[in-house]
Amino acid sequence: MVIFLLRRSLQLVPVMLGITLVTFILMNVVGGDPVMQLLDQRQAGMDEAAIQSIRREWGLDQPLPVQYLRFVGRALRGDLGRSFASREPVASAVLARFPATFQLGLAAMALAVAVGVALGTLAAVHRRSWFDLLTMVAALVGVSLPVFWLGLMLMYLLAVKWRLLPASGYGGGQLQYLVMPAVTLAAGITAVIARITRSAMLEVIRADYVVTARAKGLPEWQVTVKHALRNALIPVITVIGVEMGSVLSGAVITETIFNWPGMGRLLVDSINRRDLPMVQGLVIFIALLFALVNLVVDVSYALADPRVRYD
Amino acid sequence: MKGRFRHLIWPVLLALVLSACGSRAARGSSSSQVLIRAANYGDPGTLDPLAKSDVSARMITMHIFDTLVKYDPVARQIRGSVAESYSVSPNGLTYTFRLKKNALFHNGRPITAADVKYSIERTIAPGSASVMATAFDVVEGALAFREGRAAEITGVQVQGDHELVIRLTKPMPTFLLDLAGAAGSIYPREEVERLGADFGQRPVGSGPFVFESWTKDDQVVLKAFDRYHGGRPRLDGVIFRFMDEEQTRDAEFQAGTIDVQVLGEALYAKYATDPALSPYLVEVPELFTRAIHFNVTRPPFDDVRVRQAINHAVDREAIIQRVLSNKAFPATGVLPSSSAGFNRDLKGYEYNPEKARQLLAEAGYPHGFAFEVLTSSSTTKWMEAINTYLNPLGVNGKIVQLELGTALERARRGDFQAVIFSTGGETDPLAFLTSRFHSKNWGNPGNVTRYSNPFVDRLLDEAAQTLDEARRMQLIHDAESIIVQETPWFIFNYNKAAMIAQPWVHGLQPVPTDIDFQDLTQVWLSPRQ
Repeated sequence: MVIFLLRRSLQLVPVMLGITLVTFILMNVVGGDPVMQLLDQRQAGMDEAAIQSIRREWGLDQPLPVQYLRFVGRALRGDLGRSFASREPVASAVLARFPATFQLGLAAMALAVAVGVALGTLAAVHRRSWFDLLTMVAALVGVSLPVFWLGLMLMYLLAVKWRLLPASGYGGGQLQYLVMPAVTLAAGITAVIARITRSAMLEVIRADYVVTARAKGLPEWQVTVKHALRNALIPVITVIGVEMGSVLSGAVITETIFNWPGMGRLLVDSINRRDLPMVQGLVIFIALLFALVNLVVDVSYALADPRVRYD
Repeated sequence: MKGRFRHLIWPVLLALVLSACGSRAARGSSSSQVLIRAANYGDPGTLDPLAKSDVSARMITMHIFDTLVKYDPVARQIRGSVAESYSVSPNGLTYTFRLKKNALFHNGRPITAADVKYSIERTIAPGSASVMATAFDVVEGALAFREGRAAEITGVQVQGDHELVIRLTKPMPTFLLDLAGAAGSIYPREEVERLGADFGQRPVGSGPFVFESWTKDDQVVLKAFDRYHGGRPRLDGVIFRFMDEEQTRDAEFQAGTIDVQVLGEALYAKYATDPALSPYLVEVPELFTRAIHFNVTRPPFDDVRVRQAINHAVDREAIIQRVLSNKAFPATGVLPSSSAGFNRDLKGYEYNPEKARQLLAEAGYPHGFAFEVLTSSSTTKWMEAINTYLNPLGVNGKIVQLELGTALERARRGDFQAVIFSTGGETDPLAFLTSRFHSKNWGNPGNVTRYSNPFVDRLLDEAAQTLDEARRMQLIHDAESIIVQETPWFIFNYNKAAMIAQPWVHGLQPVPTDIDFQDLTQVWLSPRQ
């Protein structure tokens, strides 16, 4: 297990280098001068010398490879630099946004897993019933709904029309602010999990050991949950791991619609401002997070299936 | 297991549902004098005016940081703020300010003349990467200080605690305007030094509102400064909520959880036609002109007849009505209609497709031509509408949509044929014309079209040295007439800014510099409905 974890950690090094290099190249290819983004149109009178001095201050006067290598050198020492736009240290800005994204992602994932696994299991147990049909149609709709549209519809119904929930914002982390963003983010993932759970359950539900369990006279819920569902969980766990990526990318849109002060919103704002240090910092952090989640998923296979070993 | 599970799950679920649905957003239900504004920009990232002074930051920092003088954009007047009085020498070179004795920083310390000198030096200090580094170049010794050749700005002299003298190297009629802007912000030295790089995150100033808290990407909270020298504001506080999504802003407004929002075209059309809400609209032509900027150094726009032809070819009023939801005014000159320099006698270009055709033929383009025009997401539809008038003449603007910053960068570099954007914001008409049409300002400083006319340069230079206001305005009008005649722009329209407020909000003003720059000391709330 330790060797497995070490190997996986080492694999991260080239991944991180690749990710930062691609981000760096993309941000420079897209164009847009970060210094010009800082200047208001009202400062139209800024002369070239003053602009150059700002550029020098931020190290933007250096050739691109030098800029990149300097960034990597600093990052290796744990310094992600300072934001062009706000001058605050990137690491602390990213960490400040992490709790909000974590809260949203966790709530959405918990909701998606609870509802998705329950619906998928029930649909498999009641195969070809009206419930199965309804669940699968709902799952298809859930996968197809654009997050943006769903978010705005929820907002208009629950906040504007019925005034049940606040329309947007963080509210210092109060639960009522979390409901709509979490549901919006969870919708598509719930649908995917429900479909995968259903098909995995259908495979195991007719397996010999399930028939045996039933023949022993175990109650039906025990047969379903303890014997069938546990064995059907491996593909579901894989999907949950993959869908963590959807949570992070979906958070970009969800956080923007609902003014949720997380990393996704900061990423969008930073790209718009050409705030390269901030974009790099966020990309590194999100990539690390994603790698960590995948590691947890790999480890959890062993928990779901005792036959899986990593040594 | 079964029993324990049951005991846990139902109370938790019930608590979740109740807490989710039971209480309305606390922020909106307040009956106090706290104004909740939607800031239609993202989080500014810093509230240090030195690091950022665009609208997203300035709409907040203008309430935290006071200045020697303030500009009233509605009355178009300069008035004292931290300075109780000021005088200008007859030659326009020496400004003397008397500071109020009761003007305090938010930490309770009185503001002295030395603080003002420190603040000016901080704004242009070498190595500060200030976005306003050139703001005081006209002050004696400022350039040497900015370039690190002097330890202080010799032209700023502290005479006791409450008198400050600033000497200029040449007359600058707009100097007081500059002092009234972000560059004139007064900082308490001890707080800047104590907080270091954190000053932009926890700013301390001397304005009518005190910084209270900031939830990044969510909101900034300011509270009234009880000891403000101009009297405590009527509002107890202001909350700026960062909402860049228009639909989200509007949902919050309809839910009554924000008090004020600035409107885009679609929402403007909705509120302007709603008899119940239209009385609460605040509208103003902003100090911005929308135009296609032609690169006059490249064919076909190096020929003035081609530029004039485009100006005659398009029916501006029809586009404003049908495409812009009437949220604009047809432009007749380059200076916007709310500018102090707006010339009512200037008639601009009438819609006359025949004349356009004739001018194109004279210029050697009887069958028209194609050109590349840089647009951004918000201006592409303008260009599409303009093309419907150009196409019958054989002229086609091939749209290249870029991110606005990229389009502007290419334009500043001169790597373009035409680019469409909205430009302006300067209170002073001379500053507007000089940065965009003086040949010394090619490229980065603002003259993206590379327009050059020595006579216009001379008129603008002379206006810059003229203290007699009537003469100065005449020079500005003369220069603008020539610019409009030679038209390096397709002069399109003036933006109409619109803001909608809840019925309980009073005292909002049609501020032409930017409708976001409201004087919140004048705003108050009646009980919410």
